[in-house]
Amino acid sequence: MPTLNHYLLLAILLFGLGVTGVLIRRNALVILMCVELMLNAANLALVAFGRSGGSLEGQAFAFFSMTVAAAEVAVGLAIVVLIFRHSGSTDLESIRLVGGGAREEQ
Amino acid sequence: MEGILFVLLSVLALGGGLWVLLRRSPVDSALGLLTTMVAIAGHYMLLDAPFLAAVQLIVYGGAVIILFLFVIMLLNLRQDRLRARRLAAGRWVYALAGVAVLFCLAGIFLAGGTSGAVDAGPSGTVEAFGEALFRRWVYPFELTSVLLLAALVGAVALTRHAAPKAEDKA
Repeated sequence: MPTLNHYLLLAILLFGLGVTGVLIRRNALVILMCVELMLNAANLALVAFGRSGGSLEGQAFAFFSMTVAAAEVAVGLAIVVLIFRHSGSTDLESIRLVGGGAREEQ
Repeated sequence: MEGILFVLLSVLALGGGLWVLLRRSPVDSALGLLTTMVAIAGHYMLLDAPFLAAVQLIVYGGAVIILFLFVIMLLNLRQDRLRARRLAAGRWVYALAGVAVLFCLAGIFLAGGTSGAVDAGPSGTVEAFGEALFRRWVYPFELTSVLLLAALVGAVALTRHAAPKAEDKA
């Protein structure tokens, strides 16, 4: 029988994967996917806590967090499309609009 | 039985997450994410939350992944460029930072010392969850419709081409 600890451990591992992905990848789309991984880890922890605490509130929180995540993906992907139109790639390291670009050109 | 299912679903979820991280092509990453989402839906079933499992499959496994795949196809990313540069420049340092976050979370987890069986609660039937959603959480629930409308309008307004101005037409 899996206990609360098992679910929390799984959520921690998934969240760590998401953080590492956001840090090491450079494709904006993959970074958004890693953000989704983190959100899912948090949802899993919420549902596990709610189940062990004996209330439906964990599920309600996870439900609302899912709607927010759906809205976030829609707007985030729209921004990725704009970035692609502007610079021709989804590589975040090729986009230097503030500060860094000027230094490289000198 | 539940233990076996838990291990299987966890391996699927973590494997999908690793797939997202390590594959070059964003399409592969999206499919890895799909695996993780489906596995987490299975976990919700184990946690006695069938409604959330269905929502997870429909919203994440359906809508979000399809949206990602649509955008990937729309953008027509060049394979050679993807192959040449996948990871960020100082990736080892960043990966260390990510692992450090992992250890911090694990430390908090160990220090907190939560325990106990996970099935202490009432059974989370769809009926009970609907009662809670439409009584206690009815205002937040209605507000999410405003949020979704705002996201819809925002996404369309961001991505549509700029409308020609009046003087351009003349």
